[in-house]
Amino acid sequence: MTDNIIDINGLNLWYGDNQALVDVSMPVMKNKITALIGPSGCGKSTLLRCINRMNDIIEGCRVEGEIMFHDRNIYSPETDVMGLRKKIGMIFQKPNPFPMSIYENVTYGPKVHGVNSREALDSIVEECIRSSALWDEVQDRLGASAMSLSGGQQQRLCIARALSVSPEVILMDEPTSALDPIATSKIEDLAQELKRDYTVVIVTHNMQQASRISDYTGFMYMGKLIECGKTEEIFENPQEELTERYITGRFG
Amino acid sequence: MTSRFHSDLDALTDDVNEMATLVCSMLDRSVTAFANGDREMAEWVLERKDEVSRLDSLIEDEALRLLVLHQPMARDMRRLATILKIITYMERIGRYAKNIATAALDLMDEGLHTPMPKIATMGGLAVDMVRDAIKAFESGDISLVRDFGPRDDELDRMRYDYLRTSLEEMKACACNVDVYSSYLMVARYLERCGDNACKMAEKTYYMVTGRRIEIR
Repeated sequence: MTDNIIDINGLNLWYGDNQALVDVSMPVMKNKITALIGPSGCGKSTLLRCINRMNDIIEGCRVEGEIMFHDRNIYSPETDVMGLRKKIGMIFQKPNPFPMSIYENVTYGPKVHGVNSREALDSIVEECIRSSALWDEVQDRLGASAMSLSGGQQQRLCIARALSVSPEVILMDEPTSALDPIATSKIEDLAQELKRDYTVVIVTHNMQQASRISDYTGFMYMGKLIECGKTEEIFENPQEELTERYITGRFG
Repeated sequence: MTSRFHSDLDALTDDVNEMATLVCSMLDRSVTAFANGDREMAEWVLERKDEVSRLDSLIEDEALRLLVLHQPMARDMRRLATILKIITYMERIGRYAKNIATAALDLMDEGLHTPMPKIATMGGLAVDMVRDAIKAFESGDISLVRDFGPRDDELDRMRYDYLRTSLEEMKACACNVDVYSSYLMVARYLERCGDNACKMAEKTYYMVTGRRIEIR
């Protein structure tokens, strides 16, 4: 059964005097992939970063509106932000493994959250690296430096690291823009696998990628969510002229 | 996607319009050739057969090239998908025109040509449907194809009417078999042209609105 895991309601965000998000409302469906597309500076990464409050660390950033996750507004003062980021993980554009071993990259999060037994950690490492489709490539060198992996492998390790703290939602900010087509294809296949157990929200500049892998797509322009709906409908027959012009390259 | 893509897509649409104009003229002239026993017109149609095949291949290759290189979306994707479908329907209409022209020449060669005003009427209806389907594609004006259901029904009705009359004539005298079997085939080709015009209209409706309909 599909239902909303996240509901964004009337979200506004300012960086100082500059309003970056304007009254954005959209659902995020559980166990589905939602893609956010739009031209540079449209606010899609900002919106993604709001979902696990990554914008909190930016000085002068102010947010109004609500993002409901499990019937609670994540912007309420009672929210445990560390706990929130455990439940809603983030994968960035550039793979950013810690300068440690492959094994330690995956155990870092669980250790911070109090898991210390070797047996439990071993099990988490295998499960997460298997889930990120990297196990066959690294199982015999878990002690090797994460920096020795290729870019695509590093990105899958980052996904394994995100999975190690049992998240419910994974946010991906242009996760393949630094990767070659083969590594990109592996991450895209992985995203499809991950949606069985997790909910994925992905920001991408690549419209073909959005159309290939996502179930729902939101198109943003100048801080506003112009249109959001089922991916095949957005790409085959969008309802808004602005969306039509963007995805057919008739923009500007 | 670049503006280069859109100029290529416009050029491709021009090729489709050229093929459409050619096919429509072929059908129109083949009907006239058959109804009036006009040898010159029948030969004109047969001479255009290869040009239809050439345009069909050229448009298909170019449409596939644009799909592969640009992976278009939304109305651009719908236009290319429509083009790939309607050239098949147009190629079939061209083939029916060729068959009608051949049948006309065969009857004339054997000195059996008989004026049949009904076939000219039926041909006129089929040609008008093809012409309107083409105009709708060119202009995006789908109101032109709104009455295609009843128009197609009328073609079907005429074909069965023709079938009954022809069978009676053939029963009356075996000497009528050659002529009326030829007329029956032509009626069948014209009815199929109407069906193909309906398919063109359905695809054009999808291209313009993004919604699918079935004309029946």
